[in-house]
Amino acid sequence: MSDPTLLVLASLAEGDKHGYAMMEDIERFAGVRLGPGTLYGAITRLEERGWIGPVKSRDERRQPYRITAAGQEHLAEQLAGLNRVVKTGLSRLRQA
Amino acid sequence: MKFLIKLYPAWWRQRYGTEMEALLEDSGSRDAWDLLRGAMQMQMKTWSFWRIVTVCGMAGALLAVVAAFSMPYRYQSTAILKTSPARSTAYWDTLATEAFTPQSLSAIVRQENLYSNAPPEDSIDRLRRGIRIATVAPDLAQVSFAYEDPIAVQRVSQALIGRLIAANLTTSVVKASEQSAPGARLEVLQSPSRPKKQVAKLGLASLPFPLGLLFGVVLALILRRRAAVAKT
Repeated sequence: MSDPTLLVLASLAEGDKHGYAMMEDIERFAGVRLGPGTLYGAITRLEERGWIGPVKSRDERRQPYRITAAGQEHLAEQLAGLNRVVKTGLSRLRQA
Repeated sequence: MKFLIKLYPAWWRQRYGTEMEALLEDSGSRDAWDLLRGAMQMQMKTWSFWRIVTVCGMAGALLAVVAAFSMPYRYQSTAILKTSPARSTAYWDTLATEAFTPQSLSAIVRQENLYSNAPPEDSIDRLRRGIRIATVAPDLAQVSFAYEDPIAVQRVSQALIGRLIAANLTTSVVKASEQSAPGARLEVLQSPSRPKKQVAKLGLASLPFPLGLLFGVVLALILRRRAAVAKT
């Protein structure tokens, strides 16, 4: 799983986060350090598609984001697809 | 690193610029390539099809010019050999195989100190790739050699002609190529020419320009398709 948009959605599924918090969280759970350009490329695309949105914050320089209902739905679909691949792959490995 | 944010389009900087600055401060990231790539992607989101094509074409041309001018010139020296009677192309192939053995080419490489940075086996291959034998008439063949050093190129051409003449004297060539025909008399009609620049650099630079344009068209098509998918 290396698609930055999915990683951002998976990070926000836990709760609201700003850019740096997402970067740290993604590195923790996926072992991938997203660069600033990649992270904000994903944030831009996700916001355009209505899958995440900004949350009001006192710190304007560290804007937190929240996953939307549509974003949760999309993440669930993608993870279900990945889950099927993982299950199939593992069962085939066991049979081999 | 913050100055790279200026490469993003104005609409993007207005929306995300301060956040990106804060992220760079917090993370201490030094990944300039990642920022450059991100800026390019955001710029292309708002560019028209023809703007992408033009910019990619120009970038391709610029790269080609830089590549062409950073490459060393190559020089070529050409000699013309005449056979009596006329011989087929197979004769020249056999003659070249007999004349340009690894031992013979290795001796030329050592003598002229060619391809000094390459390992010996590689030097022989590169020397072989630099040799061209083309039959220009039934009884005429053009033998040329291309290399970066204009002085060495003429001397190597001379050495190659010497090897071909020596190989022609051996009966094995006659037997292998045309068993029923008598041996050919080989004479040098034109000795190795003065070194000539093989390819003009600007000519070389102009070659990838259409490739840059083609890349631009393909990229523009991909981006347009992606944008259409994102909208649905």
